Amino acid sequence: MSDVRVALAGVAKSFGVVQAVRPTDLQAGEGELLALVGPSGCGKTTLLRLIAGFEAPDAGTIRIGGCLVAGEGVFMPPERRRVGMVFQQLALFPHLDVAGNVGYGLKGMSRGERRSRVQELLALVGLEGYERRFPDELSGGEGQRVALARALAPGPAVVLLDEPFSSLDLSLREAVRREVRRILKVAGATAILVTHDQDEALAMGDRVAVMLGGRISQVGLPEEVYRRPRDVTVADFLGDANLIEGDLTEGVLHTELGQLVPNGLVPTGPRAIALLRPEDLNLELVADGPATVVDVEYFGHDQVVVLRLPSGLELRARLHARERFPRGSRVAVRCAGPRVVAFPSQAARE
Amino acid sequence: MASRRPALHRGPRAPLVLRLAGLGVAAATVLPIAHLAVRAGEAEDAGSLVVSPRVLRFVWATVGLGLTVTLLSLVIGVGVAWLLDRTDIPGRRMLAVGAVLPLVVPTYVGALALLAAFGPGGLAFELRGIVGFWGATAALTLSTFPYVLLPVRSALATADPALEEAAQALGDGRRTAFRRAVLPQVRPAAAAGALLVFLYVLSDFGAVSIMRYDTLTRGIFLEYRSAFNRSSAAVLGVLLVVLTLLALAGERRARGRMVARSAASSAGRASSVTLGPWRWPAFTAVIALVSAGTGLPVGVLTYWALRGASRADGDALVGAVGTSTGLSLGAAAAAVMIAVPVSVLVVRHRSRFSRIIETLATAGYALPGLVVALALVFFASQYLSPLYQTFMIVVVAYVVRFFPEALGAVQSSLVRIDPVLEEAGRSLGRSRLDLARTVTVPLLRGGLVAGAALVFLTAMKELPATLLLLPAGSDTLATLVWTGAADGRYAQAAPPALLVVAISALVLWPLDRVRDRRPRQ
Repeated sequence: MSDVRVALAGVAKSFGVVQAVRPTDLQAGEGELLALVGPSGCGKTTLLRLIAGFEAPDAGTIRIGGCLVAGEGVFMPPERRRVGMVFQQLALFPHLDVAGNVGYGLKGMSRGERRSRVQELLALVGLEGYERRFPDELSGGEGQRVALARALAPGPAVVLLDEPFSSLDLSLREAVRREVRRILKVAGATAILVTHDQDEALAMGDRVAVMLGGRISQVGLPEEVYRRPRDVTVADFLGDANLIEGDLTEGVLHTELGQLVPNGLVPTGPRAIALLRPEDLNLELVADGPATVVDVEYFGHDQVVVLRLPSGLELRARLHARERFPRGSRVAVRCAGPRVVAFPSQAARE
Repeated sequence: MASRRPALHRGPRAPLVLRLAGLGVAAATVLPIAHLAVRAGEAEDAGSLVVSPRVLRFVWATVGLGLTVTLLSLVIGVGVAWLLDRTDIPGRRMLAVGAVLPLVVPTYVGALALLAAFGPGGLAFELRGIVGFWGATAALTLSTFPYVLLPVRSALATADPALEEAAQALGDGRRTAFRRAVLPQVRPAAAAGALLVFLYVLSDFGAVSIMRYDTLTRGIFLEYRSAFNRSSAAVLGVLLVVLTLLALAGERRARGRMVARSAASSAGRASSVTLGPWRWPAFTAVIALVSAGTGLPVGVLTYWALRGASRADGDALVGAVGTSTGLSLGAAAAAVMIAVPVSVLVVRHRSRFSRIIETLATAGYALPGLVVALALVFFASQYLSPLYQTFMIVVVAYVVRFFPEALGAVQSSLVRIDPVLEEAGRSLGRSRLDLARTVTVPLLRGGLVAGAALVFLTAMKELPATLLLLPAGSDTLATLVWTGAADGRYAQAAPPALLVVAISALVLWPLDRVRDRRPRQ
C-alpha cells in the first residue's frame, strides 16, 4: 500500500445498547479500491457513514488524506470532508437535470469551468449528450453512472459507495460493476465499496475487508481472504465452505476423505478442521464409491453436486457441467490438491 | 441493509431556528386561549354565570342542535352512501359528484339562501318556523352530511366482501348479513364523520346567527358586541372550548374500543342490491337532496343578484373582494412560510418536543373560529395593542386557524423527499442552508403551492374571526353576506355569497395535480 488515504484507528460506534462498530482499524491506500463486505447488520454501513461524517464516532480517530476529521475532540461536518458518496438509492436530485446533478458539488468555479468539468465527467462515464435529461428519464445503469460522476466531480479525497448495485437488475449488475471499476481506476480515485455480496467484493476490490459482528475479521487480497480465510466464520461467509474434521498427527490431518496436509499455520491439538472449497473436490462415478449423490444444482456453466459421506456429512462439489452425476449414484471423492487450510477444532464449535 | 438509521439530523437537537419557529406557532395558539381562560376565571360571577338559566339555555340549544344535525347527517350520509355503492340506482356517477357539492356552500350562504327563498320577504313562499331551530338545522344538515357520506363511502369500498359472503354462507339472509357483517365495518367511518359534523355544529356561527338561533357561538358574539360584558363572553368561550374538548375526548375513547381488525383481503366485487320499483324514487330523493344543498342556494342567490343588479353597490363589492383577497393572500403566504421550518422540525427531528409542537400548532383547527378570534382580541388588546383593530390581527387569526392545512400539505411533500438527498448534497460540500435553498425548497414547491392555495381559499370564506377582528369600516365578502342576511337585504347579500361559493368550489379543484408535477427550471 503506497500512501494511506483513509485511516481509521480504534473507531467505535454504538446506538443505544447496540454496538454497531466495535473498535476498528482500517486503512485504504491512495488509488485503491477497498471492498468492505459483510452480512446485513454487521456495521459496514455505519462504518461508511462514520467516514462520511453522517455519524460521529464514540471513540477512535478518522483521518482522510492525512487530515484528522473525527476524534480527539474534532468533528468535521460532511460538507468539509471532501468525501464523494454514491448511495444505494442513488439520491439523484429529481428536480435537476444530469448536468445540474453532476455540477452540484462544483463551487467557486466560473460557469464555463463548471460546464467543461461536467463535460469531462460525462465523457468519463460515457454519458455525453445526457446533460438535459432528468433522473426519471435514465435507466438504472445510467443513473448509477450519473451518481458516480456527481461524486467524482469535486475531486474528492475518497469515494464511498454504499451498496451501489443492489437496486440494479441481476442481469445489469455485472456490467455496471465492471464499468464502475473501470471509471474509478481511470479517475485514479481512492474508493471504499460497501457490499453484502461476496462475489461483488471479490470481483471489484483491490483488497477485501470482511466485517462480521461489528469488527473487521480479515483484510487482504481477494484470493487471500477466499483461499486463506482467518477463521471458520470468514470461510463460511465468503462462499461455500466444506468443513471436514479429522485427527491431526505429525502435521497430517486424517479425515474421511483421506490424508490432508494443512498449509501454512498448522493448528495444534489432536483434532482440526480442513476447509475444502467446492471447486477443490473431484468426483468419479464408481459403483462402490463411498459417497452418494444426494442432489444436483445445475447452473449451465457448471454444477454443484451435493454428496453424503458414510458418516452423514454432506459436501458440495462444484464441477464442469459436462459430466452427469445422477441422483443416488455412488462416487469417489478426491481433493484437487493435497494442501488445505485448517483451523483448530474448537473454532468450529463456536 | 446494515444498521441504517433514519438519516442525518438524528440525535443532536434540532437547529434553533426550527425550534423557534415551532414554539412561535404553538405560542400563537396557546397563549391567547390560555389568556382567555384566565380572563374567564377572573370574572367575578363566572361560577354563577355558568349555571345561570340563560347560559344553560345556550348550552342546551348548542348540544340539541348538534345532536339533531348529527343524527340527520348520519341517516342521510349512510343512506346515500349505501344507495350509491350497494344498489343499482341510476346515474350513480353524477349523483356521487353532486352529493358532495354542498361542501362548497358555507353554512352562512346556505342559511341566507333558505331565508331568501322561504323566509319573510323571501322569493318563494314563507315557511313558518324557518327562522330559528329548524332553519339552522336545515342549513347545517344540508352542508354537513357529506362529512359522513365521504368516509362511509370509502369504508364501504374497502370493506371486505368476503365477510359478507361468509355471513351468508353461515346462514344469514342478505339483510342480516348486511347488518351483521357490513355495518360493523362501516361504523368507525360513520362515527368519525359524525364527530366532524358535531364539532362543525358546535363551532358554527354563520348559520345560527343568520337563523337567529341562540347557541353558544351566537351568545358569545352578542355578549361581546354588547361591549359592557366582555368577561362573560370569555366565560362562554371557555365553555365552548370545554364542550369541544369533551366531544374530542369522547371520540377518542370510542375509537379506542373500535380496534381496527381484518386486514382487508384483495377485495372482490361487493354484492349489489336490486332496487326494482324503488330505483326511480331513490334517484329522485338523492336529486332532491343535491338540489336543496347546492342547486337551491345557487338558484335563489342568482335570482336575487339579478333582481338587485340595478342598484347593487358595486364599490362595496369590489372593496370587499380586495380586502378578502389581500387578507387571504397574506395568511396563505405567512402560513406556508412558517410551515416550512415547522414541518422540517416535525418530520426530520422526531422527538417529544416536536410532537408537542405539532399537537399545539394544529389545535387551532379544532377550536371554534369565534373562540380563537375572541381570545386574540383579548390577548391583543392587553399585550399587543398596536395590533388591535388592524388587518394584521385578522391575518394572525387566519394563520392560527388554518395553519394545519399548510402544515399538512408541506409535510406530505416533505416526507416524500428522501433525507438521503440531503446527505448527498452535504457530501458534495454544500452547507445545510445552501441545501435548503437548492434542494429542499425546490422539491417542496408542489406542497407549498397546495398549502398556500388551501389556506387562501379557506380564509376567503372565513366568517366569525373576520367579523370580530376586522377593523371598523371594512368588509370582506363573508361579512358582506352576513350583514346583508342579518338585515334581510337579500339582493345585497347575494352577489358576494355567489362569489364565495365560486371560490369555495375551487377548494375541490384537484390540487394534487400541482403537487406531483416536476418543478423544472
